[in-house]
Amino acid sequence: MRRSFPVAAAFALAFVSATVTPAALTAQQGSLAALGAPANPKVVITWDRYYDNATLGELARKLQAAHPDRCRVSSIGKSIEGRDLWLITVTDFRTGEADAKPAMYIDGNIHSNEVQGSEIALYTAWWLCEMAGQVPGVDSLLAHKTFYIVPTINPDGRDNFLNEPNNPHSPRSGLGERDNDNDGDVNEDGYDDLDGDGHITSMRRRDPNGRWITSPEDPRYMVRALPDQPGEWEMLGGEGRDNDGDGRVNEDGEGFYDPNRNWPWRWQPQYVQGGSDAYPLSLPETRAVVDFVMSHENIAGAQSYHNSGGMILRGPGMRQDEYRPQDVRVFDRIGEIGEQILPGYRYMVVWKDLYTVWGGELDWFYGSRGVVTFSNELWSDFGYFQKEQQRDRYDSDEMRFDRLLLLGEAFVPWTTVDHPEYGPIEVGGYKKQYTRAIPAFLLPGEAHRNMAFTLYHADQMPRVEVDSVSVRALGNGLSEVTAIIANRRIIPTHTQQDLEHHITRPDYVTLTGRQVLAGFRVTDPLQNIAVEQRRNPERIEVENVAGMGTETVRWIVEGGGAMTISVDSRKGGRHESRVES
Amino acid sequence: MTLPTLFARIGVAALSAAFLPRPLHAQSPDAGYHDGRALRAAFDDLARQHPRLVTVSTLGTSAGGRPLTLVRLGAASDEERPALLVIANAHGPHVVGSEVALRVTQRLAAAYPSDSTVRSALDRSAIYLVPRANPDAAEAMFVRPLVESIRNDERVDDDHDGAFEEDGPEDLDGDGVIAMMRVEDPAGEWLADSIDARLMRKGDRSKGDRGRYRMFTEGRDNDGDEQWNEDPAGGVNIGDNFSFDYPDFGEASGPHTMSAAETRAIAQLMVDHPGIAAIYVLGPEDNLIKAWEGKALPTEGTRPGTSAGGPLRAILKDDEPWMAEVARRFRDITGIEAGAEVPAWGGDPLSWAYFHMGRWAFGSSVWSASADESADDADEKHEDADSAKAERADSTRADSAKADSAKGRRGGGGRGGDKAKDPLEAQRKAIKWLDEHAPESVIAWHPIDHPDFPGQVVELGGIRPFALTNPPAAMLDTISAGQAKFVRELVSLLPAVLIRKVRVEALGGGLFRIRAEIANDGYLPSSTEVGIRLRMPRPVRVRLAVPDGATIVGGRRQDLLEPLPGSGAGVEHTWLVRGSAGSRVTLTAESPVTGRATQTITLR
Repeated sequence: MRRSFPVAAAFALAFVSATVTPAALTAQQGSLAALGAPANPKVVITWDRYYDNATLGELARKLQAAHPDRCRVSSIGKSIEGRDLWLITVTDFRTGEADAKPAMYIDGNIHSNEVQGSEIALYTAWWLCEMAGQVPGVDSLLAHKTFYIVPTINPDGRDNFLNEPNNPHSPRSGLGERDNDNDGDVNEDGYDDLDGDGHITSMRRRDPNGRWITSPEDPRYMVRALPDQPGEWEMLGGEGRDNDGDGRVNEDGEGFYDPNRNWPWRWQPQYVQGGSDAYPLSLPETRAVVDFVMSHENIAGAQSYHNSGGMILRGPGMRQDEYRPQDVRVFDRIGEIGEQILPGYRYMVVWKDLYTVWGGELDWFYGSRGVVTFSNELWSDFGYFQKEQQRDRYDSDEMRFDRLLLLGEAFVPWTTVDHPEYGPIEVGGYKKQYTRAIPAFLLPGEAHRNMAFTLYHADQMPRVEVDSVSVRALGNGLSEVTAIIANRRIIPTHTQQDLEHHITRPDYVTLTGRQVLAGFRVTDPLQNIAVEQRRNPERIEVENVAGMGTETVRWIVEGGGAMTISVDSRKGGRHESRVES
Repeated sequence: MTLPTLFARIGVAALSAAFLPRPLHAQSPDAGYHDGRALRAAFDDLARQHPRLVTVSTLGTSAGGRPLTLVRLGAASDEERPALLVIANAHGPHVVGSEVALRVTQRLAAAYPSDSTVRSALDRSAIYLVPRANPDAAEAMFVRPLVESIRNDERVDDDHDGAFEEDGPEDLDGDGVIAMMRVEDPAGEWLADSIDARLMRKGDRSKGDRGRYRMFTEGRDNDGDEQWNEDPAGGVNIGDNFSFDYPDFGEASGPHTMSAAETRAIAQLMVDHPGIAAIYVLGPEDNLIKAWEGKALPTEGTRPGTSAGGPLRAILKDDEPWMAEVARRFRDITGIEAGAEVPAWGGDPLSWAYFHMGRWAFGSSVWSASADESADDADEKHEDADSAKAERADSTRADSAKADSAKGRRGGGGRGGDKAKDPLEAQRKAIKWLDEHAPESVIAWHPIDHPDFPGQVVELGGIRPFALTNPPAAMLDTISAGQAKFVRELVSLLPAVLIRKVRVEALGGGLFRIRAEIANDGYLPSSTEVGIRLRMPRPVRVRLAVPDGATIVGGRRQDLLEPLPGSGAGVEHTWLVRGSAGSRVTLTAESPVTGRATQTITLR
């Protein structure tokens, strides 16, 4: 620690001098702005609620109006019910074409009930726009990278979760109509909000033969009776009735399919992967994202926000697939930094550490497009008391947190209702915003830390530069020009997956201003071994520039005058250097 | 088109080395075949002639903007009917499939009034046809220069060099055909076959073979990258774009499965018509000459067809006998005992129909020059098919059938028969057949001056595109007659639900016991085993409706049946109903693939 002090001090000073700008000093009168938030935002957004799709679009358009040079809003397609999939493009539009800069794709809410991913995504757009011009790190990011942010890729499900009676886990599916119980009728028996409070909770019925009791620690909490303990209650499942009279309750509600099993990489049918739907890309939302990504080869990184569990996930989703070892080193490094940024989160491999997923979104991004992609499972039990979950027989952290920090707001108290099939029963339990979505006072923190991780990931997307150019006279009016092309970041311009399957075209290094007689890739600069490129020698094709690596190219040119060396990488951006001589 | 594509059709290269005289009046290879407009017009004509039996609509649009035609053959009905779906010409060059689909439709429509089997089948069920699933690629047969294309018109950068479609083939000798091109070069791997010197084979240096030629398709290296014809016009082969065992990054399989609008339109057709019980694919993949073999799943360890075990690799054992019997009937009816057997190789509509849609799935390659009149040794045929399968299994991206021009960055797909004991055998048969029946299809090697190879001997020759799998048009009617008989049989085999043995017993006090058997009157079971795992098609739903005042006191108002085996198998159901004597209850059994049976029962 002591040894690294001078370096740390230098950084600290740099930040101090950067943030104490006139803008910060002219913040709202009568206050001192805390760090990490815009002192005087042009667009005020309250991070204590979940916004429906229309409002997400409205907020995005406000950002665009306030920050026309940094934010543009469009739609990448429509959902099944005709809602727009909003795209917020954030970059410094004055410093180059957005679609030519290395880009980070961010989405959220693929599962309907996993709502806060959209707020994290919107927070990212808002924070970047509002902090631009205030923090050099932000300006550098926006100068060199583009962010394609789609706050929700499942707007139907999102609006259903927010506006209709649901529990924390419903719906997971999008809203395309499916016959879940295979009886020929569609969505004929979903949940019913028996007490009309907008939440689908649990049903219980007093029954001396039941095998459940209430907890002595918290009478709201239902506990299974011990084998030798008399019970008091019978549990009757989720709030609902037998709408179609088939003798089953809640067996065919909204959906059901899993939008995160519908992607065209290692897609498998129902018997291998439940919820995958009839065929890959059957869902218009999946198709819209795929079409967008296919037409934006500058996307070099991707993040998809889910909940919950506190995970930074990478693929593969199944044992039978493989991420290339060269790429795993990149994932590992970014994941390791992520664990620092996100206390309580673990960096994990989907199939090994979680469960098997076929046809998942992150695997499509990596497998089919070679893009370094993570899925963060936002929020976990760790969040309640900043430590591992304590669960004992009669109490849990969720209940304790509700009592101590929310004063009981998270739980719908047990209330008597008359059930058409079960007679008098009680309904009660967690509200839909509890256990998976985040309580208000923790939401900005969760948003900021996850954004910070994704900004780190985005910053590590390749950044190619012409590092240096040297010229040596060969006589006869000929010169040898050698250029070193550097990638200043961890992620290569082509992941190994990309290289092996030739997904993205090579990077081009071009010399203009002189007559080029021959061109080479210098494969071993130390031994001065070069391979000639006979075709188009003025534009040398470089297969890849490794993370934090360099590639050397060479030309033999004729005549004098200024030259320009430029590098053009689909995923690494563009840069040029002018050589006067 | 790159070499592997052409080679795949016939195993390995089949090329003429003898300087045969070239026919002066070669019959145009597309004579008697229908281009896209003509095919649609022929179906439209048929719909005009049989307005109550034939409906033509547009299922979607190809990448090139051509309509994807959907034909429905069957008595008009608003109700979803049990159906057979015919998919033809998903593999671009297999234009013969479209021609058969058209003629089968014509024949069945014409037979409807007089043929009671056809009439009862088309009154009860329907036949859907997607007669040209890859309309862009098929169009290549009707333009010059003639070149086999497997691709739709999507623009793809095949060699991933950042330029699109910058190096396709050229007709260098102006004969209207893109032939094969061989360049004398001691560094080449190819040499003439020692048995039929007109054929080329890839040498095996370990056996002392010294190659004499490099092989390409006819054309120039337009972009100077020392690869020939590596980035031709076009994008995706619909016949390689389906999701079962999809060949990732294959030659023309698309950037990912279901990338093509044509493929997705066919998949969505299956969703929109749950009554489709069986699928018949006219294409290179064939499981009727030799039926697919089933495999019992292991009882221990990770089983294929589960989350941990991954995809199924063979059909399920219980489906095998039914599929084998249909294949046997196909051979009986059509007389086709041999063909260029290409087992389903992944990405194709046939294996998709079974493994991913759970339907009874049959495929016929229809015809091949190498098999016509040469059904002399059925066992040998089967061995060829096995070796082709083995080839496919261990070379998903191998370069086995790759020629020099396909050094492209994507693998060639490796769909040949390199490892067969003598891979040229099929080509020898093919070229012999063409010599006798369509000599204009064999292009004699003839030298040209090639600007890319100054001072080298360059010759053009080989077998004319499309000739190996598309017979002379004069044969189409005969071929289609057999195919129409088979389709007539197949649509008659669809599952059909039946209510039988209805009995009512009065138990006293207004209580009645009703018993009935729900049976499958068709040949095929109501679901394949894989369909059961897919939960698609959905099971037969049995409902008993009772009048006001009556109640069901025993048994269920609605039940979903276990799948019903075919050929008359049934299950008994019992209900206890309390109601007044003389009142009537209605029993219904139905599912999209089995149709509906209803019976009104009087309580007495």
